[in-house]
Amino acid sequence: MPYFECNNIRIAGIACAVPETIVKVDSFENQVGKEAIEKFKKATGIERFHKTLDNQTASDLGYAAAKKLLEQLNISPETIQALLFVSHSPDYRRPATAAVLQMRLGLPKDCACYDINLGCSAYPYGVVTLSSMMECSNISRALLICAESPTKIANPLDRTTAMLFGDAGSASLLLKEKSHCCGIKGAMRTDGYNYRAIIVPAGGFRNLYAPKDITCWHDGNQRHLHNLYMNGGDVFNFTITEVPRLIQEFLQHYEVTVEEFDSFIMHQANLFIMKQISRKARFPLEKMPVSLDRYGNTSAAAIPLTLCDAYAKQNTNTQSNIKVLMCGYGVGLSWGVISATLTTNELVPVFTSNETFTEGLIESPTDLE
Amino acid sequence: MTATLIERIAEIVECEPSTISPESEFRSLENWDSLAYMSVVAMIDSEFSLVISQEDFRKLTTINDIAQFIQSKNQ
Repeated sequence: MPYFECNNIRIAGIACAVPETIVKVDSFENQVGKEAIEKFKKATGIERFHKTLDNQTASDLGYAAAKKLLEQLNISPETIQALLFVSHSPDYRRPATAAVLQMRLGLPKDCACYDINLGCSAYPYGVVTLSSMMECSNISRALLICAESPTKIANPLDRTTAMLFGDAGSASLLLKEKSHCCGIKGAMRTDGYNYRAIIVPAGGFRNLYAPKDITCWHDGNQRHLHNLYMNGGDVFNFTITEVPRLIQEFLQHYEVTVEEFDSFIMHQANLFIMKQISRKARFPLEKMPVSLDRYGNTSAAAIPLTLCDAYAKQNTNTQSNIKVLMCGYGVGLSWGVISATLTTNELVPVFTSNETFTEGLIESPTDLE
Repeated sequence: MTATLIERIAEIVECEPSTISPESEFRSLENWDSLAYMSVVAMIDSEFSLVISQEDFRKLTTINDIAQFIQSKNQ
């Protein structure tokens, strides 16, 4: 398995933004019935989630988070040398959303900006990719933006996805500090043999203009080919088998124990799955913060969102360091784990934003003249 | 093993264990749904250290089928 060790890099701050609109799971009662709603809430732990405006994108949330983070940490955008945007929800088919974010944030042109398209495993992959790049370059300050807007592709008639996902954006500052003691450690895996387990079949170049006719699929749910499809059973089996295995192998490889960690930040897939992982990986539930009750499954943003939700404190001067194990798993199938030490007063409380990059909406050729 | 399976599946679908027999078709139980499926897979993993794939699970019909499958894998 690919293992990573970036001893001179640390996560020096995280901020997260969610859209202002809140959707309550209860509001789906007319579509799915009261009993189904209660069962869903009990199993998944999700009560509500945030939903973007029509033209508000994942990058708008990532932008809001990055802007707030740089302000709070008093870091000039001019000093950022790399920006990595990790998401399955880009603004355009091309160019890379990272380039648009570079311009909006006022980053210099001496800056490496690119996208990686991953979902639930975005955070471990993003941190490891950016840290590795920093270790072998002269880059000392970089931004990682992990953001997602899954509510835009879930069909409201689909019981497996409509109530599960929420939109959110995160920004993390990565710094190179020669003397830093702990660094970033990581490990990652992929199972492309199950690429169909979580998929949006159309809209990519394999089937660009597929019709948007809604039909009833084999699992009894209604959706069209541009919607998100998830084979819940396959995904469940994958998570309870492969995720605890990855965590165990990671701990063994780096000769660390569960007891050494203050917190286990799991991708917020659903509470039932998270409890199974905690049981199998043998870490206590009280050390596994939950944010999905209020934000749903926010895919790429779930890990940083949960960190800020659990540990960011308003108006506090007290500083504490926490050793955190973070694990992302899902669409790909793709899964990864990282460990890092974070300083709680560098985490910004989750905030809401409906800021939308209206200039970015190109609706007619004249907009480009 | 069958007795344990009956007891635990009864808990999952919230019914009296006495209403389930080894020959019961578990998909016909009143509260059987996708969540019950995941709960049963997780329960078998926890009790018998075996994760049954969805493909294998589709071939099973009765509680006895589950017991026999676990036995064949754990031999």
